[in-house]
Amino acid sequence: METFVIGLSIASILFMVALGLAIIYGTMKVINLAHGEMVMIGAYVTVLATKHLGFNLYLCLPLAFLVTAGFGLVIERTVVRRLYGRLLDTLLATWGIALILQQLIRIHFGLGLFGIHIDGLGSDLQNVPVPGELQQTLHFLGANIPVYRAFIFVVALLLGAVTWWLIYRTRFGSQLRAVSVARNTAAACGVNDKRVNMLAFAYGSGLAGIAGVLVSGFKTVSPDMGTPYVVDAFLVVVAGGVGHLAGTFLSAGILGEVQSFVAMWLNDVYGRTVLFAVVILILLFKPQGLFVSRSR
Amino acid sequence: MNAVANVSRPAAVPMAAMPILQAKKLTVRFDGFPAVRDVDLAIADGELRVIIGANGAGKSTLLDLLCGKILPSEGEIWLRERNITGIGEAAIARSGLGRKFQTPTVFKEMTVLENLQVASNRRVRVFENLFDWLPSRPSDKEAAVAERTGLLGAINRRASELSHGQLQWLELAMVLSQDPKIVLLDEPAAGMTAAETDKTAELLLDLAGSHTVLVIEHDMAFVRLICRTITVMHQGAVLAEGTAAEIEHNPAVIEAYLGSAGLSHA
Amino acid sequence: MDERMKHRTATIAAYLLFFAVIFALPFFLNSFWTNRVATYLVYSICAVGISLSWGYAGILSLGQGLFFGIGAYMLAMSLTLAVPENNPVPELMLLNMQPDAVRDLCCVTPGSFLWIPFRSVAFGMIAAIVVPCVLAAGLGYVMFKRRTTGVYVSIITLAFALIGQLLIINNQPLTGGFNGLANLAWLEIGGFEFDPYGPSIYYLVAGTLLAVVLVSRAMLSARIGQVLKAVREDEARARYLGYDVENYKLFIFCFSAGIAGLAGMLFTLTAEFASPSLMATSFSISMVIWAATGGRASLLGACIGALLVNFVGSVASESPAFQPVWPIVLGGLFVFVVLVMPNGIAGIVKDLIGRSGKARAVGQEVYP
Repeated sequence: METFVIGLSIASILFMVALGLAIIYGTMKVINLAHGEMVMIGAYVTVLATKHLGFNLYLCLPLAFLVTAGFGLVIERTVVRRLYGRLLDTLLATWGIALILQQLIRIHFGLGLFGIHIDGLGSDLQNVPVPGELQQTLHFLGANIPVYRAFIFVVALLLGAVTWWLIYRTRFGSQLRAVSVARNTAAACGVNDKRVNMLAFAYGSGLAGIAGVLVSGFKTVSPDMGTPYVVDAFLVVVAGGVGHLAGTFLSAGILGEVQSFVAMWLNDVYGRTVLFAVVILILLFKPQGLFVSRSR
Repeated sequence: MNAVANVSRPAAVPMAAMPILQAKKLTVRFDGFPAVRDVDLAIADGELRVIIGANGAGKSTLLDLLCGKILPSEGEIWLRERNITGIGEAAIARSGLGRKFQTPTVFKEMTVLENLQVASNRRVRVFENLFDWLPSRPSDKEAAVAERTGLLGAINRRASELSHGQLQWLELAMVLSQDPKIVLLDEPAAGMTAAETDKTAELLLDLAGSHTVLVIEHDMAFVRLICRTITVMHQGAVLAEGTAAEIEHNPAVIEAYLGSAGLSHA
Repeated sequence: MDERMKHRTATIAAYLLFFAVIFALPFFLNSFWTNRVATYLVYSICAVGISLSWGYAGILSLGQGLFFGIGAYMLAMSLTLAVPENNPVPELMLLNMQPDAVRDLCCVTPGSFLWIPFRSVAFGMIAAIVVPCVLAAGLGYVMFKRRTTGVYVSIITLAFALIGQLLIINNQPLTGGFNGLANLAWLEIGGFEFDPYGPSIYYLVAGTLLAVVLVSRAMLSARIGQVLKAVREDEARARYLGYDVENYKLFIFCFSAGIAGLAGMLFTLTAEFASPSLMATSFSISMVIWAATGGRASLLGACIGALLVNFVGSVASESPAFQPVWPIVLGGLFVFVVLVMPNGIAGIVKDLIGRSGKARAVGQEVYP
């Protein structure tokens, strides 16, 4: 049961990161390898805001969303926009961006070069204070469930719901779906596809930022913390089937649980090994995703 | 598919009249929808056969099935006495089937000569080609094909620099230098000028006899230029088969085409 | 025709010049830089492998680091056993063994018997090439038979490399875990010792690079090179012409993995260690960037790209003022190369020689 809940929280984080990536990949066919850095930035926003502004974790959620969405916006406008249709090249370029962002944190946005150090940045590990009520343990069905893990799950569900509403119930969502299915046709019908791309990229990045806040509550924060997430999240996206919200949700759940159970059973490393192996198999034998029925 | 079970099955047709290419009860469904259903087709050696039909009648899908691009849900394809269902595109091509696509599909970043060299090379295995140096001049065969398709003058041009008509010719030239027994052509005259169309028709008639040719065409004027036997497809199935005159007076065909401004504009 | 001759002459001249410089360099370098440059030439070998599979055949593997790392480990295992203190069993195993285990390679730690054949250095050297090839063959066979293409190949190879890295880190008693293998003997062939800081290793690496480039060039000018190009441009068309595309892809994928393994083996000689960091995603992607900087579809370009990026990087990290900025410059280089010069240095040079900007198209996404 505890393993299940831990799995659920891993899955929730994966889901939030993957959701953003899925929107970005689904809409504009861009593999954003800097997506993990959005998680990292979200975590650093938390570190800085709690240290310097006296924010608590809850307040950091919207703040991190805004900051990372801003980063996403800039990345889209300056680099990604020029690379549409060149999938493998976006992969390389965004990896470059990831390197830059990591190093910027390490050198205090360049201020470190001039001897100015900001508390909370740099290459050291950082920790974030978690509000007392989230540190408790819940007793449920005879199991001890950390409240924080449950909190992550709830936030993920909420974000999933909001995203669903956004995509399937708003005007922006229908434009987004139109662009992802047939960009040119949508553009010809008057949809401003560039704007849709930009906003989708920003929103996706923002989701990763929120995930970053939540991660910072149970993991140490460091400049290179984001890299593993982007790989895992991309695997989730592809395994769930591109452009399939429910697929992403389910595959995050399954992969998170698989990882968690194998990790408990053997160890962490095998947990990840099995995760990768599962995904390789999915990609090989069901490349259109687990939950997509085969069509022409 | 069930190739093993079928190998020893005696052919239904007597050897002398055995068709070179046969489709038997060919059916394919996409999401349950039958795009091609129960198509029986028998093409004789050296025949020039035209398939016509409205958009969505399943013509291109039929070619896709024949050349192995898609697998049939049911039915079989036989090349003489060999069941070629499901053996893969490359193996089908090697057994003598050449395909030209509707939109010219060539290697754009390579020169005309290089395109022809790739196509005419019949030793297709990796290690056969590992130590085989490329000549920088066309072989006699490549030169002949280029001559025939009017590309000799452009032989060192990059394919991406060619006009649309020339691209069509190039793909045709590639298919020919493949030395196929059967040539499948999907709207070979599409996007060609009138002069080019006439030349294409001439070439097809020239090919028939030495090759077996299966052509999909929309343009009835072009069909009349080349036609021998016509197969009409409608909603995935074969509606009628016969000469141009027979087809144009076939009541079923006329009915199927009512509302689409008659056969001549189909 | 004249244009072609001009291009040909220029290419040959560029190759001659490059290798003349490479072979003359040790006369002007101290032992530290001889060793450094030798390491960069190892990276050049890697980049040639990437250029072959990515630039010429359109297969972007993000798992080259795994093959490189395995190559490094294979020879490193032999060179570990060649150190006298590591007999009968390597120190790393003594540290990890059960107290009552027999001190013999057969059974000191679980799986330690796998080390036995590595008592022969020749075995280690051969395994450094063969094992990556075999692994690539297994993975490639499934991948290409399943007709996996484009970015899926990249992701699968990336995940595959991560698995390899995790397994090596996790099996400390067998592999040295996170620290890898660092206490290595010098390579000795027929009584001659290769000094990592001397010209002998340098010429061994440079000679290998020359051989790899020559063999690759020869291959590309044979029919197979043309078929690979065709496969990169339009896989389906190549199939309808009768080519078993997956076999061609499998071949070049394995070939490239073998080159990476060979490079890894040489890396062990110049750098004197093998560690899981060689299998990291970041290292695999860096290799791709070297090739991209030099020109993905140019063997010589890839060599030069690897040399240049690493040389500048190394100079940068020597200077305390510039060192913290270097990763940013490197990241910027990734973005710059992709945005501005998709055909890399080679593409720019080609344009300059007057092939009139038509050689550009390679960067315009030939592979979906």
